[in-house]
Amino acid sequence: MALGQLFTIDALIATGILLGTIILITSIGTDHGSQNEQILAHDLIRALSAIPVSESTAPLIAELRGNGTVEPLQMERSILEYTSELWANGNLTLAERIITNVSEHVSNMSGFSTLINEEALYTNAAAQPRTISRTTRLVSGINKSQPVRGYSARMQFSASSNRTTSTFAYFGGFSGQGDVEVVLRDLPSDIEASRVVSFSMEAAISQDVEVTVNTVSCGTFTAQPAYKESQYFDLSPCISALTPGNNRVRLSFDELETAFVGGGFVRVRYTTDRITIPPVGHGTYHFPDIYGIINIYDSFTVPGNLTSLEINLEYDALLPQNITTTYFLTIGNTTVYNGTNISSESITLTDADLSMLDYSAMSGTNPIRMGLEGVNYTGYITVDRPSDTTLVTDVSGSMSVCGDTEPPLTCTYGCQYMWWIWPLTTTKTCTVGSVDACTGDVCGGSPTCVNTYNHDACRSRMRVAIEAAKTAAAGILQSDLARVGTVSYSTGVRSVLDLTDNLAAVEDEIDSYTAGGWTCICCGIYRAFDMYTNLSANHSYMIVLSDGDSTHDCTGPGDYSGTHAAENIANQATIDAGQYACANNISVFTIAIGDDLTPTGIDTLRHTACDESMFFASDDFSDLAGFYETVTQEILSRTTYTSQIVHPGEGMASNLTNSYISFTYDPIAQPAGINEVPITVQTPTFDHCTDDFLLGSNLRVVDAHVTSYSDEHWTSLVGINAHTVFNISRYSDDYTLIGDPFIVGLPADRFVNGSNTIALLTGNEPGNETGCSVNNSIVINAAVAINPTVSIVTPKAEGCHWFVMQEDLNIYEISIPAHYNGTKECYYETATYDDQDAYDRAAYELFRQLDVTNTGRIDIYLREQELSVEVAITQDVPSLWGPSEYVVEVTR
Amino acid sequence: MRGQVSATDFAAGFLIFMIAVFAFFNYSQISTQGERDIDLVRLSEELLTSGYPADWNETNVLRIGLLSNDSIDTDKWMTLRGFDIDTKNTMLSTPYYYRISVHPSDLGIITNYNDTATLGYDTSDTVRRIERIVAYNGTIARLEVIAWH
Repeated sequence: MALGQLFTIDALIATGILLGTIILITSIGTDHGSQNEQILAHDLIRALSAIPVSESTAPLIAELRGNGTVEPLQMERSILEYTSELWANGNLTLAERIITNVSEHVSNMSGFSTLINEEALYTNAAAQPRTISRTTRLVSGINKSQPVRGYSARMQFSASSNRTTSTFAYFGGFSGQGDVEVVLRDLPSDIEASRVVSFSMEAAISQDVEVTVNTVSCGTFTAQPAYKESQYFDLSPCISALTPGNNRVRLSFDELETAFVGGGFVRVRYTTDRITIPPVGHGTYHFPDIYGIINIYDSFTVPGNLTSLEINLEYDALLPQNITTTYFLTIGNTTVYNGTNISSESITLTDADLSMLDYSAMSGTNPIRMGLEGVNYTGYITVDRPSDTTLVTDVSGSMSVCGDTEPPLTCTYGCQYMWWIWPLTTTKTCTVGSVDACTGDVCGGSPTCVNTYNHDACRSRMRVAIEAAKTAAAGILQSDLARVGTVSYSTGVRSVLDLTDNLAAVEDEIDSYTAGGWTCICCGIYRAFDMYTNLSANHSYMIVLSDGDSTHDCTGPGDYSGTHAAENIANQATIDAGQYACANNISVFTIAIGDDLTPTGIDTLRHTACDESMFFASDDFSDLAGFYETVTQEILSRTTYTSQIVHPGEGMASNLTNSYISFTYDPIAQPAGINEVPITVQTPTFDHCTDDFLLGSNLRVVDAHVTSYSDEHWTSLVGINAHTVFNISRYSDDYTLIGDPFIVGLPADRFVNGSNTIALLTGNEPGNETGCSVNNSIVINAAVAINPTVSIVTPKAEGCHWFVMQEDLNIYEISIPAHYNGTKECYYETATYDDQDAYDRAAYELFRQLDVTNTGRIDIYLREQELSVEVAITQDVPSLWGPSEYVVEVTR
Repeated sequence: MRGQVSATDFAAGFLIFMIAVFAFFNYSQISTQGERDIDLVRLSEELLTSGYPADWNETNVLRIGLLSNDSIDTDKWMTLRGFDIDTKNTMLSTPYYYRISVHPSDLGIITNYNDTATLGYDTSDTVRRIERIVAYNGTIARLEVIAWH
């Protein structure tokens, strides 16, 4: 029984499970309404997306189109997009009306509503509380209360069409003698007077010169008297003579013997629409044309590994019968051509003729020397240049002690004499010729000594310094264009003599020095500094002498009185004063003399000089005169011009025309490629032997060179980042046989992104370096990877006039876009711009790419004339907001 | 005693059997209707595509679809409407009679039967209908598909 009941209950349970399963399956299988509503939601959102506003036949939209409510750019929006924009702009009412209107034929199919980001746009009359299905479509570019469309600016740097660029013709280190002609090559076909920005020449000339361009005279220009430093000449009077192609610029002199150019160039700046692609792997050096006596010192640079060389020379000569002349051409120290007593010749030398050259050693700058043998070289000529030198001399108390025993000596001794019956003593002082002469009552006179004692014969430090300073002044003032000023200092500035070329006045002033007081070196330096009124034009020097540690501090320039201060403070003030003068183009020499100086005091003076080569120290005052002599010679060497010229001789002439050296090479660096912008970077001029400069991380050097106004000397050594790229002593110890580069090539692969150091020396012979030339500059042709910048969508695009600080503190100004003529000013350094302006945003980001050190100053020196900002603006760009969710819900 | 127990078991077994038979027939009917509904959805889904090729015409059509740019394309509609019945059945692959229409529109009706078959449409208890929302002529319209056999 129990078993039977149990079986029956089991059967009933199984039946219940079976029925439940069947009911469940039936329920699922028959829920067709949910599926249809899902389809409806999908259909509706697709239909709203499919109908463009322009094609909608809904009466309301037709009305909106007709009354201009729908903007032209909205015509191609779908109903879904248009109503989304209305929602973003806050016009929900219109959005609702539109959906109501366009969906009127389907509104009775089911209840549904539309929402954007969960905000209801529309709900139809049949809507029910229960949501059955929901379909979503993402709509990009909209966001509540944000602009839907606006402006986007795209910007990039480019070598612009209608850009301003320059063409140069170089004279070389020394081009002479006679009329000199260089060629401005390959001016673009669209050049005309109105497109020439400037036309000028910078050259060192020794006499007045008439300049002609294509036979049109630009006028006669006056050379500064006896002055061989580079001068600027404005050639704009003959701008109209410039033509497309090659243009000949001729310098005509009267006196053949001094008819030469000691370095320089002709430059024409112009705007052009033509793009010139420089040759890669091929270069040509053009000799200046010489009409007189050929005498050239120059160089050419191979920016890679030399593979072939061709030399073409065309010259002629008019020589007296009794003259035997040999033309020679030397590259480096190798004579590659000799032509003896030839009246006219046109020759071509190819690789086969040039086997004496080692091509593998010719990468870089190669000196060229071309001239004549058998003519009378008159030797060096020396001419002067303006210079200002101040002698800053310590007259503190310590200068009164014995300096040395060089005559004339001051003999000092005690003298006992009788007055009536009383013995008295006094001190007698007089000048004697030697130490031995200082004995007895050598000074004589009254009173008559009955006994003498404690004889001391020496020359005081003051006197030693006076004599040395006077000698130095006399040496410097040998130059007609030199001036000397003096400052004596002790506790403060004691006496001053302004710059003068009157040697007697200088000597009188120096002779008046007497020792006494403390030592305020900075006082003397700052006072001397204020004498210089023409720092840019004249060579400026300062010779600072001290025999003791500084004891006084200065507050800065203009403080000549000094304040007693701790040793470290006074020393630092001295260094600051010296370096201040150095920074203002005054070459400061310092002399530490005597045994009173501490090591710290000596070190202070070492760092007060502009560089260590300009510092002299000895504990022996007898060395002082030698120091002054060395400094004087150094100054003289810097302020005179020397060159090797020839005396032409009666009835003698030789001309060089259309001559060149053509070469091919495997380049070290390729020119700017795709996604790179070619730019020219020019460093500020530097006057010191070394200079540091920064290159941005996105900059790739293609080629570079440094200009060296070596003037009377030879450019002897050039190095970049501790790598020697030019060393004239490699060719010969006799520099007169070697060409003198005006331009020294710098290998592209020696530059680094970041800090670079250039070193440049001049000299006359090995071991006789003459310091450095002035106004040097590095010109770098580079490729810069600068990505275009694209602004986000902003409500306006007006533009701005930008002020961009460069690392050298110069301001680069540019209007972006170029046609902007409003008054708004933007500053990159302070990020001052309108972030709602598409132009401004894109420009700021563009400049940021040039600010590789993130200092607010761009690291690449932009020159507007070589780089333009290419701007593209797009209006009605959809914003990148969102995406927002457009939802259709079907309810039941 | 044993006989009583067997009778109860028999009664329970019979009851279960009858339930099973009822459930089978009931599910069989549901399944047929579901298959028809599913086919109707499929048919409407196919119609609401561009077809293949997207710009198909009567000479190159491989698969029927009535949309261009997500809107009913009048040319496609008229082309389908002009096909003979066999072609329509081949293209839409359905064993049922159907009539397709858009409201509002003046496109007319697409059918795969002769006029005499309308009697079946009027009287058949297997008629099924689906409405889809579709863009047509710049507005939102209803696509109605009715099928029966």
